[in-house]
Amino acid sequence: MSRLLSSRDLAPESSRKHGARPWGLWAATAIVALVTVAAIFGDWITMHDPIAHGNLLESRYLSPSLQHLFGTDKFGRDIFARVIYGGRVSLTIAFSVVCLSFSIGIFYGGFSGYLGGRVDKVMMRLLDFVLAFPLVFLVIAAAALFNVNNWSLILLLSLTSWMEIARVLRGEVLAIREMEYVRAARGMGLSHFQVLFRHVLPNAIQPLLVLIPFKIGEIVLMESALSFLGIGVQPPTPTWGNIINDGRDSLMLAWWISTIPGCLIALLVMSFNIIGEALQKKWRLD
Amino acid sequence: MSQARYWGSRVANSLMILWGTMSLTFLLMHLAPGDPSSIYIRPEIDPETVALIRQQMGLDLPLWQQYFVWLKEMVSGHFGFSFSHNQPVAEVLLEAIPNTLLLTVSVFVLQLIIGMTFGLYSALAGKRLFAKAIDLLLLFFYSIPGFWLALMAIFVFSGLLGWLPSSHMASFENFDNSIDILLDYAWHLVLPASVLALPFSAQTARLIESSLRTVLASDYIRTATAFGLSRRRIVLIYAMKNALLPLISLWGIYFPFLIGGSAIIEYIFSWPGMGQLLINAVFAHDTPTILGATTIGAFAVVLGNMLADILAAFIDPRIRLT
Repeated sequence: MSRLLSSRDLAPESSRKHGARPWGLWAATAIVALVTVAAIFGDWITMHDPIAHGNLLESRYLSPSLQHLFGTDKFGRDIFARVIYGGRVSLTIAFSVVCLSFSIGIFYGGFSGYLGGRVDKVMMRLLDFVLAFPLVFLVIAAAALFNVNNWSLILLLSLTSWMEIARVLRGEVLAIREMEYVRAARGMGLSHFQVLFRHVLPNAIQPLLVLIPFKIGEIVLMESALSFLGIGVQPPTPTWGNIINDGRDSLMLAWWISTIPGCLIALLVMSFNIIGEALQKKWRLD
Repeated sequence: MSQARYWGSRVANSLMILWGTMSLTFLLMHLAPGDPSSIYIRPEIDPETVALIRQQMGLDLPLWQQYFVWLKEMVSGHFGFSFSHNQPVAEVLLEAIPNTLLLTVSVFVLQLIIGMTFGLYSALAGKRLFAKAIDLLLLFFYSIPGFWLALMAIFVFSGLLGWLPSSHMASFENFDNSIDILLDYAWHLVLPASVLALPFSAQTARLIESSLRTVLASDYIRTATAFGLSRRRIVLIYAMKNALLPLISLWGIYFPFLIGGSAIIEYIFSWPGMGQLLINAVFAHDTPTILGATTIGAFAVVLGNMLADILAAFIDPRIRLT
C-alpha cells in the first residue's frame, strides 16, 4: 500500500479515523465474505440440485424448514440451493463486468488525461455524450433483442458502466502528469506508454479502488433487474433476479421465493456500499 | 451575445444527443437477430407473400435507405407503424405519454414534499442523530432493487392488507361523478408513486440538509440575522434560494434514472405508460415502437437537463454570466 500513498495521506493522524460505523463496516465485510465463500464452495454447502425439478407431487411450494432452509418453488426446487448457485452467477458476472469496465475506463481516462489538449477535449465531449444517454432504455432494448447469454450480458453491462471510471481517472492523471517526476521519467528516455502505465497510473489508482465496491453493487442491481425482466441470465440457470421473477406470481402462496433473494441482494449491495463509504472516508476522498 | 451563444450551444448539444440516441438504437435494432416481419409469417405462407409483407414493411431496402426513411418519419412526427398494436406508433405513444407524465409529476411532487420536510427539519433542528438516520435511509434505498421494493409493497399493502390496488391506473367500475374518478386514479397512484418517490426523497433530504447547513453558516446569513430579520424569513427566502442550487443539478442528474426506473415500476404495476410500452414492445420485437419509446425517453432526458439548467440560471444570475 505504501506505494499508493499520495498527498492526501499527509493529513494529521487524528482526522484519518475510520468512518462512523465501524461495526457496520465489520458486518458488511463479513456479509461479503460469507456470500463469496458460499458462492465458491456452494457444492459442499448444499446437497440439493439447483436446476433439476424435484418431486412435483410432494415437494412443490414447501415453506422453509430444516430440510429446505429457504423453502421450495413451483418445480419443487430447493430455494437455498438456487440462491447459492444464483449468488455464484450474479457475483461472477459482477466481478467480470467490474474487471472489463475498469479496463475500458482506465485506458480511456488514462489516455485522455495523459495526452491532454485537443484529444482530451474530444474524448471528454464524447464521454459527456454517452453519459447523457438514457442508458437503461438502451440496455433493456439491447439485452432483449440480442437474446443475450452470460458472456454478451457481461459485455453489455461493461460497455455501459465504464464512463465514471474514465472520468475520475482522467482528473487524477491530469494533475499527476504535471509533476516533476513524470518529466524526469520522460527525460530518462522512457516512452509515453511506459510513463503512463508504470509511473502515472499507479499513483492515480486510489480513487479508482474506492469506486470498485460501489460499481459491484451497481452491477449486481442492474443484472438482477434485467434477469427479473427475463432478459438477463436465462432460466433455468438461477440468479437472484430471476428467482425473484419465479416467485412473483405466487407471492401470496409462497412468499419465500421472491422475498429471500431480494433481501440477499439488498444486504450484499448495502455491504458493498458501506465498504465503499468506509474507503472513501479513510482516504478522505469525499 | 455570450448569453445567446451559451444557450445556442446547449440546444445544439441536446439535439446531438437526441440524434445520437436515436441512431444508435436504430442501428442496434437492425443488428439484432430476428426479423420484425416474423410475427406475421407462419410456415404455411408462400415465399412470394413473405416478400410482399417484407416489402410493405420496408424491410427489403438496404439499411442506409431504411435509416433515412425512418429518420424522415421521425422528424415529421409519424414514428412509423406499430406491428404489435396494429396502430401508428405516434398514436400508441400519445396514449402512453400522459400516463407516464402523471406518474412522474406525482413522484416529483411527493419526493419534494417529503424530502424538503425532512431536509429542512434536519438542518434546522441540528440533531446529528436525525441527519444520520437520513444517511442510513439513503444507503438503504440505494441498495435495494427498485423492482423488488415494488413487489414487496404489492405483497404487503395489496396482498396481505388489501389496502391499495396492485395494478393498473383505474378500477373497472364506472363512476358517476368526476370526484370519484379522480379519487380512483389517486388510489391507484399511491403504490407506484411511493416506490419511486421514497429513494428520490431521501436523496433530496440529504442534499437540502447539507447545503442548507453550509449556507446558514455563511456571512450574509449572519448579516441578515444582525439586521433583525425573522428566522423564518432568513431560512425560507434568503438561505433556501442558495440551498436550492445543488438540488436542481441533482434533479438534472437524477432524471434519467427516474425515467429508467419508472419503466420497470410501470411494468410491475401494469401502469399503461411509456415504460410498460417499451418493455412489452421489447418482448414483442416491435422495432418501431421500441424506437419511438426510446426516442421519447431520450427526449425527456434531454428536456429535463435543459429545464434544470434554465431553472438554475433563473435562480442564480452568476450562471448566466459565464
